[in-house]
Amino acid sequence: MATKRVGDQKLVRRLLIGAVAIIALFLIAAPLLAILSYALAGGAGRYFESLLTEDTLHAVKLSVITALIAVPINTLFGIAAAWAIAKFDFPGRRFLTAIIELPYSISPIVAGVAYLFVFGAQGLFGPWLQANDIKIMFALPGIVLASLFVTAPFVARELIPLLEAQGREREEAGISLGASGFQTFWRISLPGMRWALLYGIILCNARVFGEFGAVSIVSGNVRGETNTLPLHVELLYQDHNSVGAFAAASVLMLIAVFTLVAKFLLERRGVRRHAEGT
Amino acid sequence: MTLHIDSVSKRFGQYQALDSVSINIPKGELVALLGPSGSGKTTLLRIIAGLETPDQGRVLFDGEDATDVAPRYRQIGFVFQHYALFPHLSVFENVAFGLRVMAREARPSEEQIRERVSEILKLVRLTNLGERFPAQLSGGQRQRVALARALVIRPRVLLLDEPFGALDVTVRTELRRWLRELQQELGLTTIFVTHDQEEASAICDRIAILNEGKLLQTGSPVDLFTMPATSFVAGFLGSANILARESLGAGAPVGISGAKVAFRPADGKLSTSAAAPAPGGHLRLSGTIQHREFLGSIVRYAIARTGGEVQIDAPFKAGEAFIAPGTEVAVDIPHDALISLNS
Repeated sequence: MATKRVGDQKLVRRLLIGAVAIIALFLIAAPLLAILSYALAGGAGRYFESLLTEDTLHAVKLSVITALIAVPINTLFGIAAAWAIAKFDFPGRRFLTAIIELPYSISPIVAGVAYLFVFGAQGLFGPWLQANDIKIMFALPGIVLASLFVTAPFVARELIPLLEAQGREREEAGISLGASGFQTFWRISLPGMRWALLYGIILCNARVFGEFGAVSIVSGNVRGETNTLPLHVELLYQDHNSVGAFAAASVLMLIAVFTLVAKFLLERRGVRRHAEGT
Repeated sequence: MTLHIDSVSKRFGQYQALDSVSINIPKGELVALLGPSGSGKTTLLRIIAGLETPDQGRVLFDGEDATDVAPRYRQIGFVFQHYALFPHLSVFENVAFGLRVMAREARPSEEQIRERVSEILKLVRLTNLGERFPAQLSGGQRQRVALARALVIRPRVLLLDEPFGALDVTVRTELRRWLRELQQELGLTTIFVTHDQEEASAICDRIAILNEGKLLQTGSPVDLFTMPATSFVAGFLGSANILARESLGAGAPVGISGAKVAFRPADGKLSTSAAAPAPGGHLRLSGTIQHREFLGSIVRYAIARTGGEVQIDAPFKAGEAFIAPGTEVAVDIPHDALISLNS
């Protein structure tokens, strides 16, 4: 070859690809395989037995309920926030974007502690909540709130660049053809963002299931009551019940695999390339 | 429908997009809003459609004040510059959209919708493309889908924003001629925005020229070409030589009143024998050939003279020699080809 592209020497290429492959294998693939092999170490019978214990099932149920509440709320929030930021011009637009993205850059523990300060027994609204017999901390509402905080940016982040690229003309066309605001949103805007929206929802859902830090602070870790799946995995592990822990962890892994496949399929539809913008 | 725009003004921040613009558009006319970019023509179109609200002034449809009518109730067909087709809907469904969103009691039946959409698709010559999606169409086809979508609601006025801007030249000429025939067939009052004076002159009944938010002049293409009121209009509609009246000196004919005088490059006659006197009824300018451009059927000469350069288009005849740069020439312009300009 007469001309070589920058960084395309054989040695460099092999070194880089090799290093990445080794890191991916040992850091990511091996631990995941370990989970499966530990979970199935005692045979399929023991695996299902420990998966179907009452506490584990309860943890799965609690995680599912949390996701069923948190994901739709954050989906609606994400659409509203992205719409406001992408389609309207108002003072403080950049600031609002930064606020929405804050959960990305803040440690989830901080969010948990902050909620404790606001809703906990010693917290800002603690006495009032207690007097009115409303339980937020160490109960489902606290878990949902912490999950909402952590996953707030996921849907909005996927939609903002897409909606900005699309502009306002399609909606204007809809309105000038006689459609109401709702008809325009339902028949034009929503289909125009469906793939990006689905992508955001899937990422949001995966994070709700996986969230440990924020939830562990506000849930109180009561076995069979306020333990979500990740918290339950940790508890089982500390009990030296490794088969149980790994069996429960394999459920989370399953969700991860599903997310990965869905993400791959959606990316093939060109969500990331804004194919919907044309 | 007749349309009255009554001293409409619009400001975006520091920028005066429209400054007290008034136009009357009779029923069935095809009118072009012509002007350079930033002249306010698109803003005016959007105000008529209700997509912008004027700061001052009124928009009247058939004499009725429509300024505060919401865009969805105006029944106006709007064709966007980049078409704004709905990418997730087929061509058929794009066109059917305006019918499907009608209030239940006014909405046609499924069968009527099929009939009406097919009829419109036939009108815009897209009969066999109903099942396609916008991404599978050429620019000209998309343009016609956008037009069909706007026509299906039986609009009272059709508004087009730079309708041919995104198309290549051959498609553009064909499509604009077709649009003119369609518009006359339907007898539909139509306004379109363009920055291309040739496009406006070619198909319009009337042209309204805008610059910097002001309406400068309206009239038929021929009137605007032969009787421009200002140097901006004279220069924008075709090319023109514009001279200060004082620069003509004693040769200035009587009857020329404005501050400036214009003439078209084709109206000047070049001669190399500057010694011969100017023929009667002609204004003579003299200068030296500066530059020459061969443009096919014409040769364009730039002539340097005291008081400003002028351009003269001479018809090209095969075998005839060009006049060399540096040659002293005389330019004779008949008095009736001189146009007085106010500014």
